[in-house]
Parts: sequence; structure tokens; C-alpha cells
Amino acid sequence: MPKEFRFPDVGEGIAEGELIRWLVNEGDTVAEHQPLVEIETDKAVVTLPTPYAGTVLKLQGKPGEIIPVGTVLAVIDETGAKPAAAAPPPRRDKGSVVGQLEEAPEEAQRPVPQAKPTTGRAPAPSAPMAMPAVRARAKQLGVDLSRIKGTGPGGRVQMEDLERAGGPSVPTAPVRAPAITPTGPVEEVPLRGIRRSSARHVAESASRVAAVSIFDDADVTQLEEVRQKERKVAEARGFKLTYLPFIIKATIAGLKEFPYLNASLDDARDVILIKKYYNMGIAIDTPDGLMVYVIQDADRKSILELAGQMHQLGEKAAQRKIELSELKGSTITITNFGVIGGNYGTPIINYPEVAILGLGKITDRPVVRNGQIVVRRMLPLSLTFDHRVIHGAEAARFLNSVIQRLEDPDRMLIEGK
Amino acid sequence: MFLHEADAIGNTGVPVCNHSLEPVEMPRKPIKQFNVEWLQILDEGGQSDNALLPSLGPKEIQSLYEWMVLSRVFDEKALALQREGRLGTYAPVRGQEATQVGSAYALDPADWVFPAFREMGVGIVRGIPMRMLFQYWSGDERGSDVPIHQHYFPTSIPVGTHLPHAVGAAWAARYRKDPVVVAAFFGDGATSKGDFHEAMNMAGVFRLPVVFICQNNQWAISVPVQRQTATPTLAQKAIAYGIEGIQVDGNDIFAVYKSAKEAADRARSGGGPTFIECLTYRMGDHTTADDASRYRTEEMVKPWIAKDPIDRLQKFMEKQNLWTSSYGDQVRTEAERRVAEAVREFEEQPPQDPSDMFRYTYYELTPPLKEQMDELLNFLKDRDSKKD
Amino acid sequence: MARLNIVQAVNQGLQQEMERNPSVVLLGEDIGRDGGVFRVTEGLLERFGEERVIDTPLSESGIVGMSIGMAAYGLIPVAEIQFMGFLYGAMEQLISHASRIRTRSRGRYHCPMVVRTPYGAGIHAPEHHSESTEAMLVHTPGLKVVVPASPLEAKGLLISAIRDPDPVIFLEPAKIYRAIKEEVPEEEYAIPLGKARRVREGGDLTLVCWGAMLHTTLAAAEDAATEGLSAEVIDLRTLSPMDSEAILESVRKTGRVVIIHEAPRTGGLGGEIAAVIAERALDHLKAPIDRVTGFDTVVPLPKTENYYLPNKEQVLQAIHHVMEF
Repeated sequence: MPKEFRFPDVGEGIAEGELIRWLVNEGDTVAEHQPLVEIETDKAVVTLPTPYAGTVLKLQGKPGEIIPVGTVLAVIDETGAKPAAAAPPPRRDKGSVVGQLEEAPEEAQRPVPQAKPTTGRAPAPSAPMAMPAVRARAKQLGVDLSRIKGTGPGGRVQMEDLERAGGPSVPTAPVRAPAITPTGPVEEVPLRGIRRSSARHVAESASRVAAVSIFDDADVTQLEEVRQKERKVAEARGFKLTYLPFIIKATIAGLKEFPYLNASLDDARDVILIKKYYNMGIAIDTPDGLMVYVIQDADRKSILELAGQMHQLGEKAAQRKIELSELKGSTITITNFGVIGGNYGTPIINYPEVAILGLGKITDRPVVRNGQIVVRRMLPLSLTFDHRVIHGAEAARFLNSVIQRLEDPDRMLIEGK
Repeated sequence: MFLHEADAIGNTGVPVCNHSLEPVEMPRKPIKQFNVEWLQILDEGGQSDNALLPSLGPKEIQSLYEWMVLSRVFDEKALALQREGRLGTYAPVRGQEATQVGSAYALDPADWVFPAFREMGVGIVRGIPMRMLFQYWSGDERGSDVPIHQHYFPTSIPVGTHLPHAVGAAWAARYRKDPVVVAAFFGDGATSKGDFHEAMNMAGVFRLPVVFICQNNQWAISVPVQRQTATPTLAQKAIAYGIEGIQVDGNDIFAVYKSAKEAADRARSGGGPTFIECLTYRMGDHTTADDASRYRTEEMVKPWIAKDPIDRLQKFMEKQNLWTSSYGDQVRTEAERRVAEAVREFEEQPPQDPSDMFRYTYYELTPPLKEQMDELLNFLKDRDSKKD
Repeated sequence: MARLNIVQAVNQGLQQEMERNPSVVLLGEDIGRDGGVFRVTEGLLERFGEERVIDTPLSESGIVGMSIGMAAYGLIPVAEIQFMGFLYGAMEQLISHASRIRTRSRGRYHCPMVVRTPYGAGIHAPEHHSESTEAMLVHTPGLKVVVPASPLEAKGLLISAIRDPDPVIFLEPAKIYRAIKEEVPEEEYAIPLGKARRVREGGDLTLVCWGAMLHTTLAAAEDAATEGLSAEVIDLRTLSPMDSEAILESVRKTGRVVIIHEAPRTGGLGGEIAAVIAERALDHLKAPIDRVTGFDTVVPLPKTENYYLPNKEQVLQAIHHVMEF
């Protein structure tokens, strides 16, 4: 049957050769391994023997032609012809003792690569440094690392830097918040200063505390009379005598009966810290925003002293001269939104305290006394407490005790130290 | 003579040369003498020393002749296949047929053979399918998948390194009380390797049933045996190890057979190892990629043509009426038929599975190897699917 | 300048160093009369004589051991071990002695020898002729290991190796012995050991390789370029001492790296390089470190050799992989 004889891979990377001459003719009978053709490669003249015995049907290629390796050179009709002794091929130094080595072509070939200038994307000017875990998290959060200032060594972006994304000195893309897409014109006001710290503070409180609010009223008609009678004493000292110092005293009296409202919850240690000191925080509205100044040891001060200190601190706050130490350390806070208006509210606890007393506007209101409708001066009270530490009954009792004293100022006189 | 008493540190005060005393003779004398024996039974002209002829019947002598012709035809075919790109690098055995066939023929089927890489004749006599020999030299590992019952250890290329293996196997055989002999084959170059020394030494110390068969074909690629050793024979190296040694005419089938038989019998009966130096000649190049004309001349090779082992036996057989030209043709034709059949079988073998390379590294595929195997198979599957 | 392949470049380097310094001697099997089985020492016996180009008996341990003695006595032996697969017989000499003579003698004796050996797969040769076990040598303190990837590199690195006061193993990638020809300066020149070279500049990822794999890697880099990826290719040149800074500088720039070697994966130098990168450039990584290597098997015989050797497609696959992150 006809068999194709192709120019074999004779090794050493020879890819082609020039056909020099045929050693047989078409129609000849050839023996296996009989020399068939001479081909010149770039090393030497090679004589190729036929692998098949039989009749030469076709010879392909003319002397002078360049034949690539793999090309069919001859077609031989293979028979079971007895092979004759093959002539030994000429020896040729293959430059090896085993195997086949690829040979470089003589002509100039693909140039040896030199270092070429960058052809692809330009590298980032100062690629951000971050550990793989941080990179992965940044990707998750949709944060562009290159815009975050890293606080690690060498400017490495750390996990905290990611969480703090939006840190004070660097404007960054918002973390976590979904995109807000207003459908009308907006004015952008950057969140800065007290507003910003305040925003974060209340957010923290709201997220940590189990806040519950209860509301009640105190009849301060009698208290009003006392205040009016004694106000001149205060004015002589240069400050006003408002309800607040009385309310502070009443509150402290209540706290002494119900100490859990003067406490903090230490989450990490699962410990309630009941404070044995009483620093009253007073929330005030300043041009810059809401501030809380603190009257230290309010239980050791007289009503007059409290009034004086409040005036002092209030002035300082208004003039932005208040010191940090005067804004820290409260154990409970009072917020008097009533000066502006409104009855009740759900004030947010000044974390890490556990209670805040909100004062509404004191107004004349009709109330029922002994079956009769009478007009009394009423003070709306809102108490928000942390239900993790204080239960509802306790909070209600505390509020009752504060109201008792507010409704009966003489009691504060005989109790007060 | 009288000696002074030795003083505290052992000086006797006796002068070194004391002429006044009687002369004492302590001549230097050899304490051991050794001989190196040469054995030749059949010369170039086919003449034999009948007293030395081994006891082989006509059928056996014809067998020896037929094996050598088969070995020669196989070798010629392998060279031709390599030239046609159908076989990879091949190490020819032309000229060494008697060394290989004669020694292999002297072994029992249960004996073990530890070959190097130029022992095709030995393999053929031992029954290794020629198809497998072609596979091996074509770079197909399945060519080494020789059935264990043939007791033929796989080809070992790093020179001489298999000799300690032979020694160990001999130890184990004796331990198991198997009456087998271990025959280790190697060339003249191997005698320069450290492993040769260590193996010969241990075989001697432990008196193991090993036959060390050195095919001194006088060349290690381009390095002649004179450069391999300062000794006039290799056989004398046996003396250093306390074992029997003999140099034989490696192209003389009877000398080879006889010495191998004696060595095997000696080993089998507990007489210890033997080193046989078969003096022969590498008629071809080191491998098909070597060109021996770079380092040796035609004049050096020519005398060995007349010493051809097959011609020699043929001449002997003619004298004995064991050879006629029609018998000769018949043998040749049969050899060619068998080799052609082996080529056909070889070329019809299916391609190897790519996973093959992973399967024999350990007894069980280890986890990393399993991963790597899957990696390769997936890569190939991917690549093949892209081609379609 | 002439266009030379690695065989010719090494030959020229040997010749020039032997002319320059009469202490340089060559020893090995078949290196004199036969000019070396790859013809690397062709013509040197005729030029320098038997005392300087020594055809030794078949004895690798002897060759390396003798070289140690020659070196200790003041010669500069350049030994040839015919194939890396036959170097193992001489490992005791290399590990127990050549690498330690300086330490053992506290600097009085040293071993300025070179062991040249063809290494690596891809020449369709029988067993043991395709080894790439450079990791064993790099793991031996006291030895230097050098791998040229082109003719120009080969001559310059060889000259440095011969002039180096420490024992150097010079691994010649047989696959490309004659496959590349390039212009090689006639005059002597030394390429410093311990310094890698950037063969291709790029910004998207770093490819680290040596020896014959450089060319596979470059081919993959060219393919990647057509996809718009810009790969930087580093040819290590010296495996021990390794130029970590060159690797780190590139990785810090690109953030992605693939290491390519034909040696088996486990315990291969890819692991060492990955460790260095993880230790000193983790901040910069944008993707895992990837390796394209040979398998943890004996190198297969010619019929299936191609399944073992890393190829261009596999390198491309790794490039795509690191670019995914």
C-alpha cells in the first residue's frame, strides 16, 4: 500500500534543507533503509534512507528546491520486499552525545530582547501599601485605598484607617452609607467641628444604649413662689435664679435614693459602675451647637452656688472660652429644651451615663385638685434611661421622688445638705 | 649483642650501626604473589583449543550463533531507526555480541541481571521483548516495564552506580536461601568509579554470589581504557578485593561462556564473587549522537573487524559442519523477521497517558502529586478543547 | 563582534581566561580529545596542551575532589561534569568540602573552582540528562550557583565565575546551547555575580525566571502584551547569592508576581523567592504569588517530556490568574 515518506526531523533543530539530488527514480524498487535522496542542511549534506521497501510511486521536489521538514518527499508502494544491506550514511558530528539540540538559524533571527520602555498601563505614582487582608476589606467596602492616609509604618494603610475612613484630616469617600441621590437642588454643608463630634456622639449613644423614656409633670407653683421671693439675692450677686438649681437639687436627692441612675455600664467587664459623686451635666445650646457643661460635685453646692456656677459656665460656653475639663465628667445630664418650647421629648442619653432628664416649658395648666379644676404652674418632665441598667419601675420611682421635692420645696430645705 | 638497659624514656644507648656484631639478614621478600589468567578458546580463524571447549552440544552452539545474529540485526535496525527519527539516542553494541550472549547464556533463568545501558544482547537472550527495548530507546518509559520474573533490573545509566545494587540483591538472595547468582554488567569506564570499588569490596568481604562482568570495549566515549587505569589489565583489580578474577577474549563466545559458567557455579556453591574482564571492542560510536572519528582512527578499529565474534563462531561451526550458507541465510532471515515484527509492535503502541509520569513516583499518589496530575490533565483538556 | 551561541561563547570565555591566567586548568571527561560532548572545550587541548586540558578517568567524585585539591594549592580548576544528572556522585565533595574549606580553615584556604555542567530538560535525551536540581546547590552554604540564559550572558558570567574566589557551580542550559545566537564582544568582559537583570520592562506584573525558561517566559510576555498587559521580566542570573532587591523592587512596583522554573515544585527556588517577597513586600501585593514549575516527579523520557516542562501557555495562564485580583 502507498506510504508517504516525509522529510524527517533529523535533530538539532534543522527546519529545512535544499534538495540536492535524488538517488532513485520513480518506478524503482527500493529496499528498506536504502538511500533515497541527498539534502543539504546548514550543517552538512544528509542522505535520507527510505523506511519502506517497495516501489517508488512518486518523488516530490526538484534539485535546488528548499524543502521544509515534514514535507512529503516520496510515495512508496510498500511491499514485503526483502531488504538489501543499507549503505552506511556519512558520519556527521552532531555536537552532542545524547539527544537533540535545537540549532539557531544562521540568518539574523528574532532579536534578543532588550529592556523596552513601558508599553502598558502606567504604574500608580505611589501605589498604596496595605496588607492583603486590608486590601480585601477595602474592596468589600468600596473604598479607594489610594485616598486613605495610612497610619502604619511607612504610610501603610491599616484596618483602623479603613474604619476611620473619613478621618479628620483627609476627605474621603463615605464608609458604609448608601449613596444619597437628591432629586432636587441641594446645598452642601460640610459636617465639621462640634456638629460633627456631636453627631457621632449621639450616634454612638443611640447604638449602645437601650433607651426608654417616661414622662410626667411636676407642680412647681410653690417652687415658683420661692424663686420669686429669693431672686434678688442671686441678682445681687450678678446672676439669675432660675428653676434649674432647684431641679438639680431635687434630682440629686432622687439619685441618692435611686443610685442606679447615677451609674455607667462597663460592657467589657459586665460591671455597673455606681458613682458616688454627683457631677451634673447641663446641656446648653450655643451658637456652635449643643454643649454640656459640668458642675462638679453638685451635691455639695447650695442652690445659690449652683446658680452662680451655672451662670459662669454658661457665659464661658457662649463665649467659647469654656475649658475641656468643664465639659467632662458628668454623671447625669439635664437638658432644658423648655426654654425654647415644647413639653416632652425623648432626649438622648449623654453616654456613658444612664439617664437624662429633659425639662419642658413651664406653663400654667389646668389640673384637677380635690375634684376641682385649678390653674397651676406645671413643669413637663421627660426622663430617658438606659434599660440595660435601670428597670422601668425604678426609673418611675426616681422620677416620682424628684417630682415630690419639686412640688414640696420645704422638703429640700429640711433634707438639704 | 648486648643491650644497655633502657633508660627512663626508652633510649638504649645502642648505636644505629653496630659493625662489630654478626650480620643479620632480613631480606625484603614478597609475601604474596598473584597471577592474572587469560582465557581464549576460539581464535580469529575459528580454531579452537578443544581441551578447553565448554561442554556444549551442537544445538546449543547453534543457539549461541543465532542469539548473536539476532543481537546484531537488532542493533543494525536500531541504528537505522534512529537515523530515520523513529528512535531516540541509541547506544550500539556492535562487536560485543559474544561478551553479552556468551555470559547471558551461562546464567540460569532464575539468576538476576543488573545491566548498565549497553547490554541489548544480554536482554535479548534473557527474553526481554525486543519491542520493549525499542520503546526504551525511543524515550518511552514502558520499555522498562520488564516482567519481574525475568529478573532483569531496569537500565542504569550513571556509570557503575548499579554495582552496589547487584551486591545488595546477592546478599538478599543468600539470606532468603535462593540459589541464585547476580550478574552485574558494566564497562571499562565503570572501574574508575567509587561505586565499583565499594561494590567489589563488599562482595569480597561478604563472599557474595555476584559475577562482575566487565565489558572492556576499550572506550568510554572518547577516553581510551589506557586513560581509565594505570594497570595493564582490569582483571587484576579483583586481586585488590580478594576475589577471583580473569581476563577473557571477549569476542570468543566459548571463553566468555566458560568463564561465566565457572563463575556462576562458584557463586552458586558459596565460593564467592568473580570478576570477569571481557576484552572486546566498541565497533560503533558511543551513541548515535557521538562521532568516534573525532578521537580514533580507522587504523585502530580495523584489526577488530577481523576479530568479529560472529564471523569467528561461524568459521568454527563451518569446520564442525554446523553451519552452511543456507543455514546462515535462514538464521539471518529469521532474525530480520523477528526484529521487523518487534518494530511493528513497537510502532503500534498507543501513546503514553500524560498521567503516567505521576503514577510511579510513590506507591500511592501523594496529595500534592494528585493535585499536580489534575492540574496537567485539566490544562491539556483545556488546550485540546480550544483547538477544536 | 561575532554572532555566537552559548557553546561558542563559553568556549571563548574559557580560552580567554586560560590565556590570561596560567593557573586556570580544565578537567573532565571527554573534554580534551573530543572537545567535550557538546564541543564546549573544542580546540582547547590543541591550544593549551595536556597539562591544562585534562581528560580524566570516569570519576565525578574524583574530578570534583581533585579540583578542590588543585584549588587549595593555588590553581583555578574549571571542572566539567558531563551532565547535572551525574553531579550527584560528587555531591559529597561539593557539600562536605568545596563549600566549607574557607570556613574550616578560617580563610587560609579557599576553593576558587568552577564546576560547569549542562543542565535542564528539553533535549530529548535518556534518563538523568534533563536534571534541574539547582535548589540542592543553592541550599548549600558556601557554594555560588550561576545560570546564564544567553550567549552574551554566558561568557560574561563564566569569566566572573572563574575570577570569583568562591566555588561556583555554572549551570549551562543545554536546551538553548545552540538555539540562540547573538553578538558577543570579542574582548573579555565580566558580568557581576549576584546581580539579576531586567530583560523586559513592564508595569502590570513581574515574571521571575532563569536559564532556558527565560525564553518561554519572554514568549508568554509577548503574548500578554497583545492583550494589553505589560509584564516585567527578571532574569535572575545568579541563584546563590540571589539578587532579592531586584525582585523586590519590581514587585513593589507591579504588585503581582509569577515565578517560573522547570525544577520540581516542592522545595524549588520558587518557594524561597515567594518567602522573600512575602517577608519584605507583602504590603505591595495585589494578588497571590504564583509559580509555574515542573512537577514533583522524575523528569519523563523524551516521549512525554513536553508534559513536564512548563510551556508558554501555562505561563500565560498564571499571568491571567494574578491579573484577576
